[in-house]
Amino acid sequence: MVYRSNTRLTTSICAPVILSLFLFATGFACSADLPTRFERSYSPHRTVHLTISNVNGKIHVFSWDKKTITVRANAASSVLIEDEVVGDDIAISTKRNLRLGRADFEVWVPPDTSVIVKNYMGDIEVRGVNGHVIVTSIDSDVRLINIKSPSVDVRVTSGDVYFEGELNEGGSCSLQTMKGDLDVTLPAAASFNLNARALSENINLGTFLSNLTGSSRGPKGVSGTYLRGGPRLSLTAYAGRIQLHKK
Amino acid sequence: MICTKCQELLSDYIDGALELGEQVSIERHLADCEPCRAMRDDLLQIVHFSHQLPLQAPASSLWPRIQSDLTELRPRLWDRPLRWWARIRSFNFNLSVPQMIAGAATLVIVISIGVIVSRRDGPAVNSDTATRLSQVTPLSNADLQQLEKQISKLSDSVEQRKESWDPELRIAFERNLYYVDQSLVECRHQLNDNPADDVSQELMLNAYREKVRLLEGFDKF
Amino acid sequence: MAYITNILRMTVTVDRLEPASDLELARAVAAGDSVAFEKLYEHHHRRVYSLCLRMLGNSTHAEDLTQEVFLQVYKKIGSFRGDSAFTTWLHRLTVNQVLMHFRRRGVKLEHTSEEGDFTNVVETPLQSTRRISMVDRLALEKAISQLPPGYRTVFVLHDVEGYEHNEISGLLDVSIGTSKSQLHKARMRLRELLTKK
Repeated sequence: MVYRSNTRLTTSICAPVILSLFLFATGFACSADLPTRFERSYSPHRTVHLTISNVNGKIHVFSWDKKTITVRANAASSVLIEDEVVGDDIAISTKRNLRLGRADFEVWVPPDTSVIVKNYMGDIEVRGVNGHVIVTSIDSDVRLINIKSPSVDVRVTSGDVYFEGELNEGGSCSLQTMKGDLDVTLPAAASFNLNARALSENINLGTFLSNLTGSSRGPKGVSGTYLRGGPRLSLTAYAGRIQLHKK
Repeated sequence: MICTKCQELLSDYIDGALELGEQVSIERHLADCEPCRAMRDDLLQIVHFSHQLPLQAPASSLWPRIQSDLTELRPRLWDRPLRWWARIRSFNFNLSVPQMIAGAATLVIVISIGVIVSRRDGPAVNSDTATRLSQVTPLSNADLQQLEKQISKLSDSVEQRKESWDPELRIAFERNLYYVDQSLVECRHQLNDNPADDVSQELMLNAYREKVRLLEGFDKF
Repeated sequence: MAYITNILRMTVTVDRLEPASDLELARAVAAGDSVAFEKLYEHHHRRVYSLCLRMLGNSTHAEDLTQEVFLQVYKKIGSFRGDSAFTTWLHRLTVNQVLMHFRRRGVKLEHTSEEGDFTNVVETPLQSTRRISMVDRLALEKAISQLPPGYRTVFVLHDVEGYEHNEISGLLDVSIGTSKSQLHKARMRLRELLTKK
């Protein structure tokens, strides 16, 4: 008799506890999948250096005609996004953790902003920026469009890099990928000093070849001066092609 | 001629791009082969109707969008100098022969002065610059050993952490490490063939640095 | 004396290779005449849009690109000298814009994949006598839009717009052999799509 009543008591205590634990675990699992939204706006007084550091997800940076900077991200709830403002530097970063949550960023900046983008996985696009541009990533296709920057530096381990823009007098543009193609579109009247190296595949300078002077050409590299020279254009592809096009 | 060969050449046959001999072979085959004739007739239809596809029209809202773009452009493009040029072009020039000769002579003198001045300055950049652009300090054994030591230490650290990573992260790391290592292998092959190859040396040094960057990046997980 | 002087006066003229209307309009646009630009748009916008639509396979993108093309026309019209037909100049500008659009989006025309693009297409056996019925223009347009970008580009340039393979090879930076091969594959794929109905 005692045994039977003890069993009933145990059951009546354990069942709600187990049910609660189950509901809690379910709720936790569900909340981990719910996306969260990050949004910040900044009103700088001067030209800003903006750094976006991500692990997994897209980063798209666009210029606009406002003086403010707006950052929006859709992120998995496991992803922690932090911002830090020190003087003219704004840094937005996602914290690394073992769960590879995704965070997709969209950023709007005044055109003269300098932009530094760091990522591990996920495509990167920067449009219409006239400040310095630095992009480093492991596995990303990178597209830089309508860029008129004094310096551009892109390094990815794998991914294609597409650049379309202008080279500033005295400036530099360095694009590198270890696995992927480099595709560069410049105005027909652009002048530059070129150093292009492709370890495994072709370098195609298109119609830029005809006016390339002082050039040295080998099986893996082409260097020379196009028109008046000036800005440095450095292109390095280990397993991919290099192509130049005129706009 | 067999059907596979005939069908491969059908497009060139339709476009009249084959040599006479091949053309005759195809026609002989087509005379006896209904499937290939069917294919030829279908491709002819496709080509024929493609030539006649009508023009399509965009939405009527497109022109206002273009006009709005032009309104933004106009102040920059249509500056005073261009209006001035438009006025000049609207003049009706009537030149006498002596006037034309005088104008041509002036032009020749101006161009000659320009050429003499520019030749004195010389080209801004010559092949020396091109050589400088690709010159690098040769990679010493000590440099290599230093890099390899750094890589070895980082690799050990990453190997220990890797097992706890998200599978997608692990796959991305291994895939990209493979690409970097393949590049290093290729650089070493090139240098084995030609140890004095500056470009391969520079690329190899760069590839080592990329490997360090990759390992340092993943060592933070 | 006056007679001799009159003989010696000459007016500089330019030989015109172009129908007066397009060249005159182009010069007027270069001089700032926006009414002339509107006329150029009226004459040519359907041709530009049709080319964009067939190469991109999407009407929204085609409209955006048509807008971009006419903006480029406005900016670059000063460089049109009349030494080729205006339609040729405009056509080439349009094709370049389309190719830039593909490059911006990372579309690689010469790496068109053979597998996976049409997993549900049944290959017509070599020995089949099945024929496509009378080609319906709408069906053909739809089939063209379903081609992979690489095949579609070469097909539109060659069969619809009339470019030769050597011109296509220069535009797309591929060999003439590749251009011919892509064209044949495009035609065969269209045949499959039109036979499926």
